[in-house]
Formats: sequence, C-alpha cells, structure tokens
Amino acid sequence: MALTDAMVALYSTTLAAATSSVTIAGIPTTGYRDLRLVVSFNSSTVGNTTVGVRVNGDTAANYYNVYMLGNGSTTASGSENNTFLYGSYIGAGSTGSPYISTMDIMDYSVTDKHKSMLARNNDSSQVVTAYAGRWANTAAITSLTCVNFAGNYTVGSTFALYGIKA
Amino acid sequence: MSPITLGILAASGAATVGSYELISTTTLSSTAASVTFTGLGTAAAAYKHLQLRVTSMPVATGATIWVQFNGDTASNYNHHYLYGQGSTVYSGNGATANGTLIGGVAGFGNTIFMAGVMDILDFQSTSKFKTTRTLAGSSTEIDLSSGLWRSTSAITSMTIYWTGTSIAAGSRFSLYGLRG
Repeated sequence: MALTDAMVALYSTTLAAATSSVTIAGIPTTGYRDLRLVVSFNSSTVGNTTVGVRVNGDTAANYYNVYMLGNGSTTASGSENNTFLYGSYIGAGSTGSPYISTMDIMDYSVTDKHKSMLARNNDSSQVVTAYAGRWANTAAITSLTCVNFAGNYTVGSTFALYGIKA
Repeated sequence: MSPITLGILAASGAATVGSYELISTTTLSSTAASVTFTGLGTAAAAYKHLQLRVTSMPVATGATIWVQFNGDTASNYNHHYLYGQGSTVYSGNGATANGTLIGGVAGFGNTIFMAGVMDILDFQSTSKFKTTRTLAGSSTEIDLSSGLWRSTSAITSMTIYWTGTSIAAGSRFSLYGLRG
C-alpha cells in the first residue's frame, strides 16, 4: 500500500488589504496531479456577477463553463465560452455573508490534456452553485489568478491552494 | 487596487503518513473496458472513507460513467441526480444494476475529458448500506449525484466503466483513503 501524504498545502493567505485579484504563482509542475483551490471571501460590491479564475495569465476566450444554481425559489443552468473559469457567483443582494468556493482542477500538471475543473460555490444568503469547466490548453498550470469582476475582495478574505498527488 | 501576487509555500510534500492518502492510481495507455481497484480490504484497511478522483472520456459519445462494488452486477443500487447542460436544470433518480452514478446523465461526449470526484463513506462498515456523493462534469454538463449500494458488506473492490463503450486512453483513476 502506498502511504503518501496526498494533499499538501502549497499556498495560503489572508488579505490585509482589499484587492481585485490575487495571483498564485510558481505552482510546481511536478509532484502533484490535481489542485484544490479554497476561497472564503467577501466582495466590496455585489450584483449578479461571477468571480473567476484565470490560468497562466491567459485572458483570452479559452475557457468553457457550464453552471447550475438554485437561489431558493428557482433553478437555472447556463453555459458560456468566456475569458475565465467560473469560481463563484455574487448575487444581487448578497453583502456581509462570506462566499465559500472550492475548485478542483484535475490533471493540471499533464501536458496532453485540456484542464478540467469542478467547483462549488456557497452563499448562504443568496445562492448555491455548481460549475464544471475547461481551460482549452494542454500546458501545465503554473499560476492561477482569482479575479473579482464585481469589485474587490475585502480584507480578511482567505485563499488556499492544495496539491494532490496521484 | 493593485493585484496581489504571492509565491508558493512548498514545492513538494514530505512523504509522511497523513489523513488523506493515495491508495492507488492508474492512467490508461490504451482503451479498456473497465478499471477495477481490488484488495481494498487490505490496501484500505486503515481508512474510514474513500475518495475516487477521475478524469475520463468514453470511446463512443453519449455514455454515462458508473461504479460497481465487489463485483455486484445485480440491481442493488440506487441513485439521485441533479444536472444542468446549459439551459435547464434536471433532476431524476434510478434503481439499476449499473451501479452508483459518477456522471454523464445526458451522456458525455467523446472529445472532452470529464472530471469527477466521488466520496464513498463508511466503506468498511458491516452495519450500513454504502453511500456515495459525487460532483462531476465537463464543459458541457454539470452533475450532482448521490448513490447507494444496498449491501452491508465492506467494500473490497470498485469497478468503474462507461455504459455501452470503452474507456478512452489517457483516462485517469485515482483512489484515496481518508482516516477517521
């Protein structure tokens, strides 16, 4: 039996200043197969906006997403070709309560596949959302940028990245 | 506000015993009808729960991907699902011999690798039926599912397969144990 500490913390921070984006750079491309990104944040502004993740600084329309959400009264699903992976959804009236987002990026270090993503977003006051996505590039992932398109991540927001061995 | 860039804390982890451990992993170099993890009664004896992480693609389009336990191919499984394909959210359930569902309710395509993470809880218990919960999807479909294997036997093997077709080369299956 292979006894290997399979989930290793690679990065962790708590914001001391508000910012619109956080970049995790220098992600090792050996030793791990998957990544797990865990974010707990508040946003300075709200309004039916998605918080997303960009890979290796890619700002082009190389991301494909599908989502499914429920807001307590209705459900919805959509799909988009976009300039980022969907990570969280900020509802129209959701201030104060933190958003919890977890994202698994599979096979991030291999170079023969596009990169697949699964994510869950939880906003107890507004909406629960599940996402699947793909970064249409076979390059190994060396950086992730979490972008708040609504405004800023507030002070106290936390970002943690784990490497998972396989 | 200026963006913040921060560096990595650790380039690699030390090989120490922890709470979340890799039991076995395989990446297919050629197509296969199924993938089976065996010997879990020994290999996974130290764990309370299992997690299966999958990136896979069917050879033929329109397939769904399932897990069967201990070679049980009888109608001893139930599942419920919630899925979206980009326009509508659907829900459904089933009691089939297929197994517990990983994903592809409406059928995954054969040009994009899907991803799936399945948790199998209390897999060694001999007083409980076995429950699974899964988040899976590709860029065309997102699935949430729960599953049940109506057996109180401890899980000693798991077989993963696509309905009606083979598993494409490049598919990867990794099994982890969680201590409790």
